[in-house]
Amino acid sequence: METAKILIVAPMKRGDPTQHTFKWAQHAVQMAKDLGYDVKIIEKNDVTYKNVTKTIQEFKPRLFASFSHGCPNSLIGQNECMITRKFTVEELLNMYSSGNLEKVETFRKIINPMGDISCPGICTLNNDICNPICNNETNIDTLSNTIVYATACFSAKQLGVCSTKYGVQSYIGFQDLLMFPVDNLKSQNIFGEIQLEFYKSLLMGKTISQAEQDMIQLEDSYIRKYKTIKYISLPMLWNKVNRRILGDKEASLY
Amino acid sequence: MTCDCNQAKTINNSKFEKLSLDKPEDTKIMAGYAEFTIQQLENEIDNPNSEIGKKLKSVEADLDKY
Repeated sequence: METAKILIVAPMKRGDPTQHTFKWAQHAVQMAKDLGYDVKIIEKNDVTYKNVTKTIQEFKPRLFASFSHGCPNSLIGQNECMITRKFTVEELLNMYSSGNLEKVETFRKIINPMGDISCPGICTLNNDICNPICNNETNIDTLSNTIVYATACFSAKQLGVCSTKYGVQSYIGFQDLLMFPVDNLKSQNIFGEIQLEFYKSLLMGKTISQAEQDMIQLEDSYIRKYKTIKYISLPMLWNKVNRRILGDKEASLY
Repeated sequence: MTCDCNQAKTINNSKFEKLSLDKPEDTKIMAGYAEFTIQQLENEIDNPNSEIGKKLKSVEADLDKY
């Protein structure tokens, strides 16, 4: 039996959440190597649309793990979207005329690429890489028959749903923001441990649904442990309720 | 997403310990491209016009199940 191939992408910028998710990715690489998998990592400035697409086509990973930013319609590399499914003109027109506020908002982002001025803080739209929407050509289809594990915001919302129609076997991601605290006690490491629990279970040969149960068990234990420390328990539960598992839940690496 | 730029309000939530493990000023919550303080998180939760605040409040209520 051929060794399963694992491709990990890990952009990283200092002072950005990817500074921390990059460390999670490094753990993921080591874990897979220790278990004898054929592992490849694309990191930092190498995480471009072109490079990621080419590597997927040549390496043909069984598991694609992205520790990155994400948008509803794309996963984001170092400076640009790297995995996406491009909208057609017809879809854009339907979006505009749908009357659905969310769809109209998506359309608005496309025709108003500079975005709107907003208040500071978590509502800021300035420098929002989801705005404008990724306009690279569709490459989600290159991940056909792959399990995608996206430790990234939002991507399960549109890209994940769409990905299974392009042949992605299973897509694990978030339909909203991925949140985690960063403090002097390195609480972010607990969040990394939870994210990697699912991944670790997959490496151990478990199915998607079994890996999900392992992850839930771990995160529930931490939520109970830190229940009264709101800045830990709230983002933890937030991530749990916003995680989505799409496609084949009985899939495993072999 | 619409939001309100209210001035910071004092955290007043007796159900939770007040960050007994750390100093609030040393703690940031990473959320997408943004990072915000615990006070900003509380402000969003308290702000009835904040979309993310409404969602956070709903999740906060679910913490009671644990």
